[in-house]
Formats: sequence, structure tokens, C-alpha cells
Amino acid sequence: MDNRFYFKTMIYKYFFIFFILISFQNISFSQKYTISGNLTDANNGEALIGATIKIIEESKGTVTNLYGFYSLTLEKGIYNVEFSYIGYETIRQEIALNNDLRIDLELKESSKVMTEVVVEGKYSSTNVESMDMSKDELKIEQIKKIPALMGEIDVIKAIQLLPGVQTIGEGGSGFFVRGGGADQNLILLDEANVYNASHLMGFFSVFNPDAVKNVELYKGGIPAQYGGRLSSVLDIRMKDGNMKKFEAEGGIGTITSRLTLSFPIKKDKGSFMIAGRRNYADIFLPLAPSQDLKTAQLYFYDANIKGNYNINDKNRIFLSGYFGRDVFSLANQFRMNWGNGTGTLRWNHIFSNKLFLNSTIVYSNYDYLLGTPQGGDENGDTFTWLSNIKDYYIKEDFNYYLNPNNSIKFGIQSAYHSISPGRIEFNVDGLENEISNPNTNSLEHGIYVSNEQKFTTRFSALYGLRYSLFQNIGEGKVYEYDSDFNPVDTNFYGKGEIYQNYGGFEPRLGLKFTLNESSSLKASYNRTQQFIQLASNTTASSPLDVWFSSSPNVGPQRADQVAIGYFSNYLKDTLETSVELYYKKMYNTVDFKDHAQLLLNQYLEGELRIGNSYSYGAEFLIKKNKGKLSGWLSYTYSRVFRIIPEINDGIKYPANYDQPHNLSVVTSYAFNDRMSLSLNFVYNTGRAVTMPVGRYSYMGSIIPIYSRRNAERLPDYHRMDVSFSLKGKNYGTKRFRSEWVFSIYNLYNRANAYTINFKENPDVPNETQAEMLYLFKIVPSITYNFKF
Amino acid sequence: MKKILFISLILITLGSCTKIIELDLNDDENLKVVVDAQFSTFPTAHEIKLTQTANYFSGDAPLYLSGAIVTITDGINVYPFNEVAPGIYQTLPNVAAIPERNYTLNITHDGKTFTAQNYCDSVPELDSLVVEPFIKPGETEIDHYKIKISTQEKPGFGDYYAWKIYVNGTLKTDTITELNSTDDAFFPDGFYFNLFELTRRDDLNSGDTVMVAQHAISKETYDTYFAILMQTAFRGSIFDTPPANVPTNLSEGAVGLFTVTGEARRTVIVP
Repeated sequence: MDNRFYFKTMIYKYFFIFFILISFQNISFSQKYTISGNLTDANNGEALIGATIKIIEESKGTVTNLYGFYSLTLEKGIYNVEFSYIGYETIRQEIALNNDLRIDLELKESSKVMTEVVVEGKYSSTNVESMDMSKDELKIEQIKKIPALMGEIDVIKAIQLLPGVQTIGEGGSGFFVRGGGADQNLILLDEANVYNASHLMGFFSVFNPDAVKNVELYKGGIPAQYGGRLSSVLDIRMKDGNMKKFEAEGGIGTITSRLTLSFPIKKDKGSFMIAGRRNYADIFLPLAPSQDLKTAQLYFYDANIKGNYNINDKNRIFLSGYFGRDVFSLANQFRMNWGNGTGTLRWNHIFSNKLFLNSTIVYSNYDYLLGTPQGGDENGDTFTWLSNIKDYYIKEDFNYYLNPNNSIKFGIQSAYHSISPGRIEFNVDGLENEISNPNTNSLEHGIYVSNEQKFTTRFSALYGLRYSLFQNIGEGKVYEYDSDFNPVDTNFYGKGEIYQNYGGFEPRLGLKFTLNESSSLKASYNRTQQFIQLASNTTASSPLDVWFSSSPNVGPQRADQVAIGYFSNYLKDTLETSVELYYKKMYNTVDFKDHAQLLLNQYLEGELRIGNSYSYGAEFLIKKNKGKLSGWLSYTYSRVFRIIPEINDGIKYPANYDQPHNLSVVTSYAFNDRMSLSLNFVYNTGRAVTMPVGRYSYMGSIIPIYSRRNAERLPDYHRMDVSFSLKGKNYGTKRFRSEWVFSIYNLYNRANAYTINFKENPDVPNETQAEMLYLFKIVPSITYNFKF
Repeated sequence: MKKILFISLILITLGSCTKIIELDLNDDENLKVVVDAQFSTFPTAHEIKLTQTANYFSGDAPLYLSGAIVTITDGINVYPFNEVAPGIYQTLPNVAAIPERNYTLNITHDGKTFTAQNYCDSVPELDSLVVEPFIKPGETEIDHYKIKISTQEKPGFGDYYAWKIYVNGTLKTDTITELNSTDDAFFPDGFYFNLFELTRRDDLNSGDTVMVAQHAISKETYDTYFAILMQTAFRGSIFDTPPANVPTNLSEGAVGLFTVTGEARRTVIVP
């Protein structure tokens, strides 16, 4: 088939549909004007994301975008316009619209936490009214209420408590969305790809809560502007920095301390924020039994910086960066360090009151080093192992607010990825050698357009189309494999030579049908593609990540997901509830053959086995945002299976993160302005594992004979955590605010199985035993936080 | 590789605890024949052990299988094995494999025939073997002995070696965990091992006879040894590879391994 011809006809077809849809609206000849502007926090000038602007007279409205910008086009007239945001005081203004207006407003935080926000009018931003489904949004204030391991507030641990999101292993930073793998989540920090979100083997994530403003997670209905990962998008936005006055925020915890400073560069024009964290996990090592461990180092640190400046009311620039490092060393034996670095430069430009452009340049890097100390170990031997993955991105994202019934988004993106899977240099016993795997480079492009359209007062749709193109680019070395996955030939490609293209359309569709003021039905479909994936077959978040891209041997992963949901709110939106059902089919799922060697293996592609997988589930959520008692209860039933011809004799098997039942209860009770108690409880079915049925002896080892892949289960997991927060006197009125947080992780001291190992009893010959590995039993901690 | 394993061991000790638990496992409905067959180019009475698999928590010593008919052939010669003790089968003395030939093992037991193939690779000679006492600085007692060898690694890549150590005629490295083995990819092509430290032992005495047997093993043997280690001795960390059955070259559902190796030996008296 002529691909180009196919491509062209597809483009025409989709764009034709697109323009037909947009033109399907009331043609009105009356004069129209546009209100546009930015909404910010009155206290610190931070842009408010997702704040609501509604017209009281008509059931019309809009929400601010990720930069706090909004635009609404209406017929000439006099309107009462309400600007509101949860937790903030609503502003109502009468506006005589007889020319285009720019209205920039600052909203004030409600003085009391417990004040119920009264929502009036017909248009609200609740989960019932909004187009979003399969999406969760957490404000950092909510995340901070959740009791955390060692008192370390953690963005990723918080999202693991949401319906449809799972984790395996105690305290891991990996998460699994609707049957997708941990590497199928697009994790963005100020639009930069974060390749490894873990500190200290995943017990903590790389996001400093004091530097984070907003967290959005898309599990389905993924908007067209996002591409490159199959299962979810976790979009994390850093704070911009205080535009009004100098502010310091920080905390001293059991194993980590942090400090954030932010101040205006020029009042109400620009601001700067710098946040740092230093962990001292090695504080307890002197208690360790072995001498080696007593002198070991183990810690992490990270820093976030961000600056932004309003050049004028049409142009604003942002520069943000993250740098984090984990360090582990044993005196004169070895050292290891790893971490991410990202940098993002953005420019918001308002072409007109209807057209908003954000241009972004992103740099992202993840690397690790492992080896002997500089200058060699105690024997004078040297060994270093280096690996990294680097990304350069450029993006142009437009928002076009055509009219109140149509908001169009379109844009283009291009990325250059460079993966250096590993280079080892060693000099052991005078033997010097270097082993290195060839680098792989690739380009990834995306072009998209989408429209959120209100067809009638009851029916709206969000439809879009993305085209993604992936290209392997030389210099490159590609092995050819025979049908037994043995390398038989090598192909070399010159610098700049494009030797493989993969492209495909990704339609995205969301539908919303409003049943009544407090309930709606939604449905969505999305196709996603993924070209870069992680080779990992361990449970823990190992820092030794092996990323590999699509290539002539490995096709891109593709997923089709359909979901339907029923959303209804009770007691004036005090209680939000939702039920969602989904089915997802994934193609070109990658798994690994038995005994696969993933590290430093130049024939890695020969270890892959490729097939399909599918997942389905039902998610139930009840959420209470207001009042003394707040929190949520979520239950998920889900399954995920893989069918790979060369694995498990081609018989379907559950993925190792398959956990049918998942329950999370997250609650917080505010006694008064100073004291609050939070409690959470999680329960899930033990994950699917492979266990032995028989055994035999060979050359002194008792070797297990296993059942089918993942045919058995670990014991069920459950845990309860509590925390109590005590704020300083007159919190909220004094400039210096302080807070003590006492927390207990795993309150009832349960030993949850991380893995079960089968091994010989060292004391009794011929006897074998099952040994359960568990990580944290009860962990109490104290944290002191301050802000001034 | 050793370093990496060492690191993961350290990481486990940092943040984890273990506990022995009671667990109900499914029984293996069909017990299998286990073959431990080693044949080499060194002239001796070669031995094959036949046992049976058991349920995982059985706790009993392996059951030896008697009454099997066992032969090895290179297509030209046939080497019969005779049962010398229950489940232990031996060739006549001074039987040796001829390098660079394919060998087939045939076992008939209880009406079923199991076969396996392995290629016998040639092995370089051991040019020298030295056992050197090591005394820690400032001390007078011998801490351990270093066993060093000199040998010419074969040109090209894709060669695999294993070394067995005998002391006073007794095999000391009779288990997979004690066996030294390597892939020549870790060394430059055609590397000359010049008094290369193979291992250290602290159980030697002056006057002991130390013998090193250098084996050229096949890739499948090396991979199987590695898989056994990853599935047994190197388990227990949060970075474990997923459980998987250890590969076998035996047919018809039997497990274990048939290895044919080029073998070169050298002996030295501990000074």
C-alpha cells in the first residue's frame, strides 16, 4: 500500500469531520465580544489552574487553562459574571459587554479551612458538569493531609490511593493505571519528562511537595495534546513563586528536611522560587550491625527552581528546572549515584483575546553511575558503569477560544531522544577493558487538534486527533534476529540516517450527557501509542533503568481504551460520586523471556517477547471536599492479562501487577482551626506471582519447579496510617505559621509480603522453606513545618 | 556481575526483614526424572546420577532411580554406563570424550526414553598452576592461599569456562555456588591469563595436593549454571529476577543437565 496516499486520505477524512463539527452550531449575526484575562491568587500571585468563570444569566462558562488564562466570547449585553475556585472567595461582577474586555482578577483564599463554599448558579466545575472523565486532580493541600511514610508527603503515594491506580510492593513509587505498566505513565514536571520518579528505591518520589502546585492524572480520555505513553498522564506543575512578598516555607522531618524560598523579582510582574530538600536516610546506619554499613552513605537531595516574568499583558516567560540525586556509597568499596535533571523554558503569548499560545523548550536527562570510588577500591581495582537517557523537546500549543461552545486546542511537538544504555570501564587485577552498548537515537513528532464543543445544554463532546511519528535516526547499529531470537546479522546506519519510521493516528473522543443538575453520563475512547519503554522485570523501582525504543525489531505499543461513567453529586455538591467502567486492549505488549538478562545486554531485543494484553475494570469513588470531615473512598475491581505466544506456552496469564480488589479510604477530620486528624486505609488482593510446585537436586542446589506464570498470589495487602497535625496559635493571622505533624505508618504493625522466596533451610539438609520479605512495619515519625 | 550482585545484597540489608511463613503449595502431579550427567575429555570413569523430583516442601533426600539403561554416543563410539550404586551409573575406567564432537545421551527408565545432546568443545592447556600463601601485613599467620593459573584463552568470542578444584583427590567445588565459571566476553579477545588469581582458599595446608581442572563448557551449560544461581543462591532481594524454570537439555520432560566438556588438569603441592 502507498503509505503516503493512505496518510493523506486519512488526514482529509479526519479534518473534514472536524470542520463539519465546528460549523455545526447556531449561526448568529449579532455582535460578539470577548472577555479574557488571568486569574491569580491574591496572596502570592500564583496562577489559578482550572478556576471557573460563569455567566449567571446563561448556563455558560469556562475554566482557566494551565497558565490561569481564560477567554469567553458572548453577545453584546450586560452579564453577571462569577469567578470562583475551590477554597477561595468567589468574586461576582456585573459586566457591560459592549467591547472586548480584559479582566485580570486576584481571588482570596477563604480565611477558614472549614468554610463551606456555596456554589450557586447553573454552571459549575464539578465532576458532573466538566467534560473530564477518568481524570483526577489533587491540590497539594489535599496531598499534604494524607499520612505518609516517615512523614514525607508524597505526590505519587497520594495518587496511588485513587481509583484505578495501583502499586505493587511496599512504598514503591511505581504506579499502574488501568492495567498499564509502570513505564506507560507520562510523568511531566512542568512539561519535562521525568524518567525515574523514585528516590531511594522508590520509597520516596522525586517531587518536593513544597514546590508543587497542582497534580493532574489522566487515566483515560487522554487529551490529544499528550502523547508518547500508553496508559496515563501525570501532569505536575510547580509553583510559580510569590509575586507579592518574600515567603519561606520548610520543614524538618525524621529523615528529610526541606526549605523553599520565593520572592517577587518585581512586584506583580515576576517572581522566583527555589526549593531544596536533603534526605539523611543514613542517619540510622551507625546502628547497623556490619562495619561496612556503619561507614556507608545513603541519602538524596533535590532542588527545584522557577522564575517567571510578565513582560506585558500579552507575554510572559517561565524558566523552571529540577535536579535531584541519590547517593549511595560504602567507604573504599563502591559508590553509586543516580538522578534526573530537567529544564523547561516557556513563553506564553496572547495573540488575541481568543488565541493563546504556549511555546516550550524542554531538556530532560536521567543518568546513573555505579562503580568503585574514584581512584579505585581497597585493592586498587577500578570499575565504572554509566548510563543515561536524554530528551530535547520543542512544543507549540495553541488554545483557541472560538466561542463559548467551542474551545479548540492544536499544536505540534518534536523531540529528540538519545539513549546510552550502558558503558562499563574496568581495571581489575591489572586487566583493563571497556564494554559498551551502542547508543540509540530517535525523533518523535506529534501534531494534534481537538475541540471541546457544547452541542446543546445537555450534550457536549471533546473530540480530537493526534498523529504521532517516530523515527530511528543514525548513527545506529541494529541486530537482526532469527526466529529463535538469536542475533544473525548486524546493520549499521550512518549519522543522521533515518532507518525506521512508525506513525499512526490517535483519535480521542469524550462525550458528556447531562441528566440533570446533579448527574451526568460520560463516555470516552482514546487510542495511544508508545515508542520508548523500560526493560524491567523486578518488583522494586531499581535505579538501573534500561530504556529502549521502537526499532526495526520492536514495533510501537498501541492501546485502545473505551470507558463509560456515571457522575452524580449530592448535598449541593458536597458529595461527589462516580462509577466508571473501562476496557482496554493493548497491542505489542512487551514482556521478557524466562531468565532474560536486561542489564548491559547488547542483544536486549532478543530477550523481548511481544504479544497483546487487555484489561478491564470498574471504579467507584465517593469524595467529600467540604466540611470538617473530608476525603474519599475508592474501590476498584480490575484485571489485566497478557497473551504472548512464546511465554507460558501462549496461554494467557495475569500481569504481575494484577490485583483484582483495591480499596482505599482517605479521610481527614478538622477539629478546629488548629487540630486535625487524618487516617487512611488500603486493602488490595495480593499480586500475581509464580510459585514452585516441585523441586529437584542438581549439583548441590535444590532447584524449584514452577507453576504457570503468575498463577499464584501473594497474601492480601492491607495497612492503616494516621497522622495528627497541630498548628501554631493564631495560625492564619500571624505571619509566622508553624505546624507539628505526628504520623504513624502501618498503625497495626502488619508485615505485608513484598516477595516470598523459596529457599533451602540452611540448618536442615533437604528441607526447603518459604521466606517472606517485608519492608516496613510500624513507622512513627514527627515533622515540623513552618512558613513565613 | 559480582559487584552488581554485591550491591543488591547490601541494598536488601538496608531496609528489609524476613520471616519464615507456612504456605500451602500445589503438589506436582507428575514427578520427573532428574539427570546429572557429566562427561569430559579427561580419561576416567565418568558418572551419571539419576534421581526423581519431589513436591516442593517434601523435606526428603532425593530418591535415586535404579534399573535404567544409560549410554553416551558420538555417533561412532557407544559408551555404556553401568549402575554401581542405586541411581549411580559409571563408564569403564579411562573413557574419554573426543573434542569437537557432538554427544548424545540416551536413558531408558521405566519404559520411557530420555535423550540430550551437548557439544564437546576443545580446551586450552593449563600452562602453570601456583598456590601462594598470603599473610596480612603485620601478621605472621597465613590468612589464605591464592590459586593462580596461566592459560591461553581461545581466540574469538563465545567460549565459556569452568574450573573445578580438588584437594588431595577430593572435589571441593562440587556445587554450583562454589564452581568458578566465566564468559570470555569479560576479557579481551585471545587474553593470556598470566598467573591469574582464580580463587582463594583458607582450607589448605602445606603438603596438600591441589588439582585444578579447567573445563571448556558450552553456552547452554553456562547459561544453565547462571540460571540456577539466579533462581536459588541469589534470591531474596527486592531486585530478584522473576521465577522461571531452569532450562534443561533433556527431552521428554526430564530435568537436569547433560554436559560434555574439554577438560585439562594440572596438579601442584601446597608449599
